Amino acid sequence: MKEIDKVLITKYVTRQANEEEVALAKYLISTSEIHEEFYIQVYESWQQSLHYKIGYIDSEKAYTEFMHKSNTRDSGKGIIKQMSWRKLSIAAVLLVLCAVSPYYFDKRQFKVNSTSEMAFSEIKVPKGFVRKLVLPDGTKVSVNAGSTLKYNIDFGKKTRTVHLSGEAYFDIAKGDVPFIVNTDNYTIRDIGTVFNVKAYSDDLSFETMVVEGEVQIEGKLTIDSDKPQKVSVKKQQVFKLNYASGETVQNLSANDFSDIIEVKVQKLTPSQVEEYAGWTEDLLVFEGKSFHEIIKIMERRYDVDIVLEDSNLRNYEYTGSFRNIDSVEKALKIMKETTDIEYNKKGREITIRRIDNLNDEGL
Amino acid sequence: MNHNHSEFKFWNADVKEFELLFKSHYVKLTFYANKFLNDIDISKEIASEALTFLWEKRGSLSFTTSVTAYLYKMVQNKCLNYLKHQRIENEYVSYMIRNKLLDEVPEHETNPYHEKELAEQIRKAIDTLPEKCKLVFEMSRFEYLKNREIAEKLNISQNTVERHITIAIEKLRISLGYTISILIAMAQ
Repeated sequence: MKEIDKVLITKYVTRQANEEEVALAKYLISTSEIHEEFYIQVYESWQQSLHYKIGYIDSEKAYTEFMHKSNTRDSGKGIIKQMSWRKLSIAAVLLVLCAVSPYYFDKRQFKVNSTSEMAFSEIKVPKGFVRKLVLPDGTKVSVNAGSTLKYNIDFGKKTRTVHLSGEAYFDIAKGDVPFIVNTDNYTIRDIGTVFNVKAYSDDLSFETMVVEGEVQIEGKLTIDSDKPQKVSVKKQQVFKLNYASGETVQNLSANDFSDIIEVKVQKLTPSQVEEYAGWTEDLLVFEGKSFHEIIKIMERRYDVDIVLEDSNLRNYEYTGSFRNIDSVEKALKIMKETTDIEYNKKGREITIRRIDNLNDEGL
Repeated sequence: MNHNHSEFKFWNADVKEFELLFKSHYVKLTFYANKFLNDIDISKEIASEALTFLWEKRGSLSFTTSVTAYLYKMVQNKCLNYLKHQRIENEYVSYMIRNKLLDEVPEHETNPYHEKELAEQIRKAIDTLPEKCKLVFEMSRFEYLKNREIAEKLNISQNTVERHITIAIEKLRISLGYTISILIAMAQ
């Protein structure tokens, strides 16, 4: 039997097949003995797999529901009452049938909020995940771990505006309406471009990197001026803005720009572009990046908390790249090979410390 | 609870006895129904309905088999009726009918130790799956997620998800073996 048939039959059994695939699977099973035999085995394995998760079927809950219904019913007696219950139970089955929605949305990740003024969709991506989606206008967006993207429900009709907190990579669909990305402090706009925006509220920096086309960034860019300014960022350039580090600027508010210490536009080589956009393909590239920045990225990517035991480690620099490294420990092992660090992992908590080397320059 | 098989005695139970019976049968009856329906929500509903029927008819029902066997038979009938009315063709049910497996309704209460052992065996088999494969399988099995949603959550392609599920099932099939599936069919 062909591998593709096996996949098809498995999809059918696990209720993942669409109408067309169901029809094809049914046809194969009814016409070929080999296919039927495979189907029977898959079906049985699938049914068996249900048995192992205790609590998957909640009999306590079912009993409570039964008691509730039974109490409501016991208030009356006789055959008429029983008949109406029978009808009720049919209605209940129908209700359940209607309630089994074909799509399941994780409410924490996707919700439609409606307020008196406007309704918007919110895509919230938890740490440890990257989410790729296509907006109603055809724009492709990858949303990085620990980020939130919001847009109005009338998105695409007259305006194409999204609000981003965190990091996202945009491949804007061509159109007549300008595409606008609002972050807490800056606005990025253009049509038909590909770019990456990094604006986490707990980062001391703001970045926009352009892969194709050109974008315009609006907002306060220098300490001296109170008025918003504009800057153009072209293909293979990155715009970077750093705030002063320190306890007082942990939460940057929209009105407080006094801590800008560096604004720059830098030209990038194609390999440097990967440093900014690699995350969309599960590639992390660090080129002389400080540990301080690296642990922030790793915390989001792997959903862990990393503590640097020695604050001097914050400024350690590291160069290396990680492709499809699915656990934080694998990444740390690679880093350990070329740096004087050791780490300790307890659940989600990781502590990194410096190895005191006898040949250390301090001695 | 009255387990008397005498034809002339009506089955009866008080609230406490029935609660025990409900809680010890509900899960098993749901899984049993799911064998016919492959739809866990409807299966739960049918298991509940069968138990409710038994409670409502207490004192006026008599049967020659054990109450467990009676419940299984009722669930089976309800499932077959459901499939018929919804015009759903389930190839596994057709296979059972062809091979006269429908009459093998369990007559006795299952041994809880044996069941625990079985659940343990299945859990172990699932635990031996490769990490990603296990994750995908569990998401699909226990979180009701569609392949597309799993693909998005894990940032892998839908094809990869499908492959993981196929591999998981094939591996389970091999490690659990065909004998176990017969055992389960009987034990239920």
